[in-house]
Amino acid sequence: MATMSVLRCAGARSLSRLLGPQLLSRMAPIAGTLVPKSTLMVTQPKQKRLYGPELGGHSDTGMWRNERIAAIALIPLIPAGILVPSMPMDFILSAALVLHCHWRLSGVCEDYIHGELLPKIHQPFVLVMSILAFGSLCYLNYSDVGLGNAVRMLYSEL
Amino acid sequence: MSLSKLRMAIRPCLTVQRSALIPKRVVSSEVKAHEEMRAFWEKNQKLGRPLTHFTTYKMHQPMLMSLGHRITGIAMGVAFYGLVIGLYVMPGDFTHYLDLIKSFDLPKWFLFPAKMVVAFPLMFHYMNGIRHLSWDAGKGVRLATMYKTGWSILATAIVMSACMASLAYLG
Repeated sequence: MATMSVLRCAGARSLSRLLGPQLLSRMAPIAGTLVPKSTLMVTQPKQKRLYGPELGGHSDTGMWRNERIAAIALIPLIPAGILVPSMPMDFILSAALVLHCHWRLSGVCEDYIHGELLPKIHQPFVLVMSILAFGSLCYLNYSDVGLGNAVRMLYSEL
Repeated sequence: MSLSKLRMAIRPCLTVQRSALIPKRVVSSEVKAHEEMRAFWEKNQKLGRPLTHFTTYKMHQPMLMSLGHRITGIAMGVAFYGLVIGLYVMPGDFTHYLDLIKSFDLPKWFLFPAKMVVAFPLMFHYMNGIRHLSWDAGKGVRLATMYKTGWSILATAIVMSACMASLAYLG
């Protein structure tokens, strides 16, 4: 039994040594014909293109946790804010929504915006928009109908 | 035979040693992981390796759900910010613009699908977001489960947005 396996090993080795290069060279054109060329589309490597996560960026586990907390908080807050609208509820919902939007829009920008200049700009830009949005939401909640009521009115009165 | 017995005898010592080693390794790998990832991408960049175009891959349900989650998320985020800031900047208040839309007297056959189209991204993102959170907790990651939850989320989101759009016609 043992001699058999030893023999088999030796045989296999010599076989692969014999066939290896020829098999590979024979396989190459087959692989080329099996996969149509149109499906082998690749994006051209660009000069100064940054691959993957931006070199300045870093994945922070604490941040990841905060993002999940905001997302989990929104699960009850969205239905509650629309079904039982009130001013405190509107403020809590607005804060959670803006936090979730701000963190995830920043994340998406970090994922897709590459180059020299834009990665340096997108973070402050998203921050300014988030602050403006939260300010506007405070105005809507304090001196207008409120976020929950606004959604309710859109869906019940139109 | 004696060798296997010896191995059995040694095993507890080995596992104890290993468990003592594991926490140290995890901590060091957590610290190193980002550095290694950075080195990998820097090497790719230095070599000028081309990136595979995403159209190379055959579309499949989990991929489209993931893409849909991102697209609905980005669209809702941008629309939410835009609408809220726009409402603050514009001279009228919310009821003014609501009355303006009411004055157009839009027909039901237009309003119902329009409201459904607006509600669908929220419902889809909400349901799929719950699924993403459960994945983060390590639940439902088997491929078969993923397909099942995917189809049910899609169906539920359509039904829920239809319910939301029909709220105006209940009273």
